[in-house]
Amino acid sequence: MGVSWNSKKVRKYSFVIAVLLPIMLLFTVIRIIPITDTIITSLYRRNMIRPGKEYIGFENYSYIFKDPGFFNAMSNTAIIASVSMLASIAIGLFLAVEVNDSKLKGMKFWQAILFVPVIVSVVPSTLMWKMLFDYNIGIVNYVIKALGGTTVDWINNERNVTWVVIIVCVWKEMGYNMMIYYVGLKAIPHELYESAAIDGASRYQRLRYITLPMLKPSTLFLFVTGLIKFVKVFTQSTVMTSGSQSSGNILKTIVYYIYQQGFSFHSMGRASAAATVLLIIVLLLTLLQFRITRERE
Amino acid sequence: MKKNKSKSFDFMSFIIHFAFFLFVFITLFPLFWMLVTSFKSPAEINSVPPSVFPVDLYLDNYNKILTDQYFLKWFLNSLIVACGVTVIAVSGSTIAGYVFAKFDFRFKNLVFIIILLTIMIPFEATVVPLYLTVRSMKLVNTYWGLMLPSIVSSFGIFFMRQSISQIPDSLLEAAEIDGAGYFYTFRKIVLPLSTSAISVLSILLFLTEWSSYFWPLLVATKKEMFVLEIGLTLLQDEYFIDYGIMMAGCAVALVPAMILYITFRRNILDGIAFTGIKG
Repeated sequence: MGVSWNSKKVRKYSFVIAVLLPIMLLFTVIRIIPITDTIITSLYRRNMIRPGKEYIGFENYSYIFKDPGFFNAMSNTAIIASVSMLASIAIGLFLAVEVNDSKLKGMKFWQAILFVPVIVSVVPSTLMWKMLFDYNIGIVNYVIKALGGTTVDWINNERNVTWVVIIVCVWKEMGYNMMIYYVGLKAIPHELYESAAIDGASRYQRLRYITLPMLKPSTLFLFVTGLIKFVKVFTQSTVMTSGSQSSGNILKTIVYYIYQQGFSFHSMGRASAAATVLLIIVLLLTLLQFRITRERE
Repeated sequence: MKKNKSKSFDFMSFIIHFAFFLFVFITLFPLFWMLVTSFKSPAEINSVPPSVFPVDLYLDNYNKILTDQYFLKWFLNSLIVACGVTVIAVSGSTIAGYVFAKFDFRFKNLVFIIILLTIMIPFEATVVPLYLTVRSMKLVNTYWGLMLPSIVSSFGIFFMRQSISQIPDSLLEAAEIDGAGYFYTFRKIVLPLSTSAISVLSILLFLTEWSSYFWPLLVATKKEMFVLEIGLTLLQDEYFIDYGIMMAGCAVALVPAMILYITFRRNILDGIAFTGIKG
């Protein structure tokens, strides 16, 4: 009896190990070792191409924090992340409430349409908007001119292109936020609205005192995950400002700074210092999210 | 009085409906404009005022990209990498999900927490060491190099564990009494009961990988190893953008995602809803 139980245990453990060992090995190679390496390398002077490294303490950090380029990347990222997140939350909420409440026919269809940008890959999305905001052939400038305004150079001006990048981010994100809010709305008990209707609550009052408080968990979720998603913005800003028709001034973000330091200037130490800053930002946001979810429970 | 109230209410509804369809318009317009531009000749694209529908259907843009020496190769590369990642990551996630859902063993929680913690690590913060690893393994400009960072998915393991833990233990025990091995039980009972979760996860991972740009930018340096997302940005040369060709390229790049969306819309939307519930 004891023997057969033992052999069952052996069989179970060998199955578990056979499954988990390769998976944990891969996680170690592609996640755990690289992130440890990034943190360690941020304390060294190390070149991507030449061998050898030299311990320099926090010199890389003091370099990047004095570098106007890094400050520029941080402020661009902060603007893009916060505005994109807030705008897609506001629009997502509006769309979800409308899809849920409206008595118009075909709302399910429009909801499916509104979700389409979420599955459109990032580079085509960016290129489409780049065309719409093109200085010469863009429809946006054409409309401005037709209304009597003066045409705007959207892509080559850093402030303008920041807004265009935000539009691309929001365009791709609002359908996702709509879906998350829609799921949240479906979970609100109907009785709440019925008793509010008996009390004669207006549309605004229902929204302010029932819908918004009940959707708070979804809002907090979208707030944090939106920020985490957009502090890593790279593709939209880089594709929008590279190539022809642009002055070659890439709109810098934190991830672009990592890319530039590491792969253009071959300075692994500085790239790793910037990467560690990004890691810390994301970890702080994740901790915030954990706290929020814990409070909810 | 009553009449007045209902009238102002209607006006408000009108504004709200108007705003709603404005967002529908903003959602569709770039896609619509991409499609019509892809059928316009360069002269027509530059014409003022711009034409909405192409005056005569100009197919040369599609002709050019489909006969381009690289474009179809890039499309194929994207397909190989996205399918490869999906198959490997989904298989790993499913069997690991089975282990975490249905087995008890020492350090189970610890191992699971480690896997969940790796979700927090931003991929972008690991690219420099990851690139050196891939370079030292001589995987630069290979499919394996392109796939490596995505072939395990902590989200996938979590997702599959949630789904498989819904399968009643009695079903699995019945198979075990018959003397079936764990892998046999997995194949004959767990897999068939998880097909819908597997298809949701496959679609999500495929779409994510199809859209990836940063890692291929680092690892593929030879033109014939580019993926489509990189290739599309090269359709603009240094002196001018031929938007017609570029939009034709974008339209072709959207085909797989659109086919998936039209076929599996319900599953995709359910999967998205799950990512929200998780948080």
